[in-house]
Amino acid sequence: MSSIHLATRAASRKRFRLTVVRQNSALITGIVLLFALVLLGAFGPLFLPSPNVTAPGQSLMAPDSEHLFGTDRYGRDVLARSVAAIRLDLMLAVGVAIMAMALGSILGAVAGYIGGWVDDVVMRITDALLAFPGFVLALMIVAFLGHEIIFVAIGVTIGSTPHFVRLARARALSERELDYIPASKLAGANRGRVIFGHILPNAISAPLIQTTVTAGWAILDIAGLSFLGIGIQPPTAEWGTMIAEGYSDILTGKWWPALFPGLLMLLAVLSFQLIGDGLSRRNSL
Amino acid sequence: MARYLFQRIGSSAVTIAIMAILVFFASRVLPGDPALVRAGSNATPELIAQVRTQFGLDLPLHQQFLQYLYGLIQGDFGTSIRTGKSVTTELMHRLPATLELSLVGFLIASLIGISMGIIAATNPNRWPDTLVRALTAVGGSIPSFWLALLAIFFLVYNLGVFPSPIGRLPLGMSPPPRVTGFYTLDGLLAGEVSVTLAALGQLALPALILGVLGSISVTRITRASTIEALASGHARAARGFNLKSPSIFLQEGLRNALPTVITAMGLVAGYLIAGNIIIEKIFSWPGIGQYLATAISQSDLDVVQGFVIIVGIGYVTINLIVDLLYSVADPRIELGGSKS
Repeated sequence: MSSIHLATRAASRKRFRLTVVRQNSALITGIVLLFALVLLGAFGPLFLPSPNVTAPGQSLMAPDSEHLFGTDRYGRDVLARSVAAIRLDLMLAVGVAIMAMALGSILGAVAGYIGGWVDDVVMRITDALLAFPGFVLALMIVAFLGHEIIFVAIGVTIGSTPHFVRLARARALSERELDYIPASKLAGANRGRVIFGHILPNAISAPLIQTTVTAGWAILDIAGLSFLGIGIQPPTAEWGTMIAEGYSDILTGKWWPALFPGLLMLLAVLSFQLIGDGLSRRNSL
Repeated sequence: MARYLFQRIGSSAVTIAIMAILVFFASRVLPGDPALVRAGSNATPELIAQVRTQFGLDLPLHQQFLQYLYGLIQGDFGTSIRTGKSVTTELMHRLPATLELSLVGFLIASLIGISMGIIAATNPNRWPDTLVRALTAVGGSIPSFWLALLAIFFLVYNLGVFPSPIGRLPLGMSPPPRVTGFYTLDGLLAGEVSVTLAALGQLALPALILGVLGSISVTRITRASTIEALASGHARAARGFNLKSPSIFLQEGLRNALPTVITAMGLVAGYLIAGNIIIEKIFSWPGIGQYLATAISQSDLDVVQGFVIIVGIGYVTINLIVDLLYSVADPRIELGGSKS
C-alpha cells in the first residue's frame, strides 16, 4: 500500500521535474549558449592569432587544421576574426538593449502616470516611430549622424526604444489605478518619487524580458547596417562587415569567409531569443 | 462606417505628418553637408555655395521647412541632390518593382506561416509541433543577408535551380511595355509569355527568402492563437456535443484565431515594404529599398524623406486594411468602438 503510494509520489515528482525542465529548456539552452559565447569571446583571443594581421601569401585558404575556419582574401584568420567580433557585437548589442530599455521604460512610465498632454506627445511620437521597422529608423539615424560605432549604437537604440515605451506605459496605466499610489501620495511622496519609486519598479518586468529579445534584434540590426556599408567599417572585425567582405568570394565558390561569422551570429541571436522566450513563459505561469 | 473611415484617415494623416516633420528636422539638424557630397571632394567654395543656392540649402531652416511642406502637399518630395532628378518620379518608377517582390513574398509568407501554424497547433507538444517551434526559433535568429548569400551559393551557383541575382530580368531581355509596372503582368498584357516566365524566375528566389523570413511571426501567432481557441470553452463544448474534429478545428479553432492571424499578416506586410532594403541590394533589385540604400550613403536627404513618407503611407494603409478585415473576421468588433 504505502509502497504504491510512494511509487506514485515519486512518479509525479519526476513528472513535475520533467515539466519544469521542459518549460525551461529554452531558457537553459539559451543561457548555456550565451555563456559559451561569452567565454569564447573573453578568452578565445588569447589562444588565437591577431584578427587584423594580413598574410598576402595565404589568402582564401580553405579550412584546415591550422586555420579551422580558413582565411579571408587578405589572408586573415576567419576564426580569429569571428571570435574577436563576439566582444564587439555582444557588448554593443547588450549595451543598446539596456539603453533602449532604460530610456523607453522611463518615458513610458512618465507618460502613463502623468497622462494628459505629456502622454499625448510621447505616444504620438512613439506611434510615428513604430510605423517603421527599427532597422529602417536606425539606418536613417546612422546615415544622418555618420558611420561610427557610437552613432550605430545611438541609431539602433532609438530604433528599439518605441516598443519599451508601449510596454511600460501599458503597465503604468494599470498600476496608477491601484490603491497604494494614492496611499504613497498621502504619505507625502512627490511625483518623481511615485514614478521612480513605485510605478517604474512595478512596470519593469515586461520591459526586462523584452530587453533580451531586443539584444538579439540589435545584433541583427548592427550587422545589417555594416553589411550595407553604413555602420561599422572594415577592417574592424565585425560579423556584418565580414559577411559583406565575403560576399564576392562566395560567388567564386569560397564560402568560408562569409559562412562562419554568420553562423556565430546566428547562435548569438538564438541564445538571446531562447532566453527571452523562456523568461516570458516563466513569467506567464 | 463612412464616419469611421474619415476618422481613421484623419488620424493616419496626423501620424504621417508627424513622421514627415521628425524626418525633416532630423535630417537638417544633424551634421553632414549634402552640398559637399554633390559638389565633390575637389570642389571650390564657390561651387559649394552654388549647389547650396540651387537646392535651397542656404535658406533659413523655417523657410526650408515651409518649402518642404508646400512641396509635400503637392506630392513633390523634392530633388535628388545626387542625380538632380525628381524624387517623386524616381520613387514612383521604382515602386512597382518593390511591390511585386513584396506581394509575392507576402503570399509565400502567409502560405507557409498559416499552414505551419496549423500543423503545429493540431499536434501540440508532439513532434510536428516541436519541429515547427525549433524552426521558428532558428529562423527568427537568421540574419537575412546571410541566408540570402547561402541561398545564392547553394541554389544558384552549385545547383543552378534559380537564375543569377541580377535584377528583374535576365541579361539581354528588355522589359515589357509599362502598364502596371509589374513585369509579370505587363508581359502577359503585351502577349510576351517568355518575359513573364523570365520575370517570375528572377522573382522566385528573393521572394522565397522574404517569404521564409516573414513566415516566422505568422507561424508563431497562428500556432498560439489556434491552440488558445481550441482550448476555449466553446471548443470543448463542441467536442462535448460529439462534433467531428475537423469541423471543430475549422469552426472553433481557425475561425476564432483569424483576427490575430490577420494582425500578424499585417505586421509582415509592413515589414516587407521597408524590410527588403537588404534583399533588394543583394539581388540588384531596382526597387525603392535599393534606391534608399544608395541615397543614404551619400546624404541624399530628399530621397530619404520621400522614402520615409511612401513607406509611412504604405504602413498606415495596411493598418487600416487590417482593422477593416477585423470587423469582417469577427462581427462582434464594432468599428470606431461606438457601442462600448
